Amino acid sequence: MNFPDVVTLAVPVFVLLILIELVAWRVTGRGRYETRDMAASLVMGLGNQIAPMLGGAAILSAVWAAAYPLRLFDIPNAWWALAICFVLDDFRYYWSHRIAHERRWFWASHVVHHSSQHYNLSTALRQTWTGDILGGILFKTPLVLLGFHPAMLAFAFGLNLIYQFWIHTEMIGRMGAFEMIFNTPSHHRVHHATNPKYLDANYAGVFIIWDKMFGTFVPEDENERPRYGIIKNLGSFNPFVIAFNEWLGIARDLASARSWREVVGYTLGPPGWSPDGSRLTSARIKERWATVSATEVPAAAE
Amino acid sequence: MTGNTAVDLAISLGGVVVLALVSWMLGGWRTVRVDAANAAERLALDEPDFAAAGWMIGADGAAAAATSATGRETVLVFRIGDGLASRRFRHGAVGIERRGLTLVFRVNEPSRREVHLTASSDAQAEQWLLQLAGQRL
Repeated sequence: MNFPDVVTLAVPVFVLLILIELVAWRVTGRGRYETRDMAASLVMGLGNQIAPMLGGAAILSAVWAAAYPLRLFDIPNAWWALAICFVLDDFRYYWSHRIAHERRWFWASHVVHHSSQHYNLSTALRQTWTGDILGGILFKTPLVLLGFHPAMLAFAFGLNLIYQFWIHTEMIGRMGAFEMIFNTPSHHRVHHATNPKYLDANYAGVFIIWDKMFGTFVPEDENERPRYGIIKNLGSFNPFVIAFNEWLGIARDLASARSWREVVGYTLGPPGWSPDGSRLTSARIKERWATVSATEVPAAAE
Repeated sequence: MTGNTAVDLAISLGGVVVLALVSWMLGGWRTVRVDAANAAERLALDEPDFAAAGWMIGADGAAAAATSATGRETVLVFRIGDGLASRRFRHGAVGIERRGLTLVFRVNEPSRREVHLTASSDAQAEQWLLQLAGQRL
């Protein structure tokens, strides 16, 4: 069984669908596009294609090539195996994605994808330039050790990425029973939102059931429109700033660290961690929101 | 880089250019004007516990600043394309200097070194600077 590079093959389709969404935005007024933001997202996507060629792909391939002979099972390259690989890889995606939100080292790469204040198909292509090596080794190698051939794994992840492209849109509303099992635009809008009630939710790639199983599912509330972006939105469309902003922040914090506790906190703590608690983690944002909401309710009831 | 890879990247780059052009032609290059309403809305969303005592709205619509009722903090709201971003800081944490009608906040971040707040007159710039200097006392 041959496994083509499906993501590369899908690029012309991505371009076509973005063109259609652009026109639909002008015609219907639904969604939002801004040229510089969109261009930045697309350049990030282009960089994401180029970055592995600088050595990352070779390192990952070498690690997987070393791991595959140590596999537990001899899993054939069959369709049924691909189906299992796809589901297990999606489970892997849920956890690696969750960790990418909960630990700053991984967030430094993943924040790129969340750094747009817009939510449209171009946002799907706003991808990291720095995150595929360590994340790939740590989170995907276990599936290679299980016995899935690296080429099958790469193919399954490519399909997963392609699935995730179309859910980055405000053009599609709720999707009925489909939403019970699958990740949808509605579920993923929640994931990209910075509203406190939506923070740390809906990490799924394809199957939303993982969020329901592990307590991170939050449905979209029709009365609370998602606000997209990050807690401290960037002040630039420069792709290099977008790619390295959080890494520079880590470097700056590490330069000021006064103990190993601080070194660990600044790198492996949650995004927003600080020794004196002066910055906002998502947990503190939720606490603050709960406090403000509690004080506003009696006033609103008057 | 193989020939195929070069072709793939060329297709991607062509796609970026085409989409950016189409977006621009469709009116996608938009810059919001910061005013009292959208600055207050942004502040309420980003910093719900910040009670603004007074606003300084830039005459060029690029930024606005609010001082806190406690007198200890300032929030800057500035535009980025058709969106807004905010920064909250304790008084004294960010350097402020005046350049003509413009107050320059040195936020010193990788994504934004400075935020410029432009007054409509010398008198207003001076008044704002004093207001913000008062914050730093």
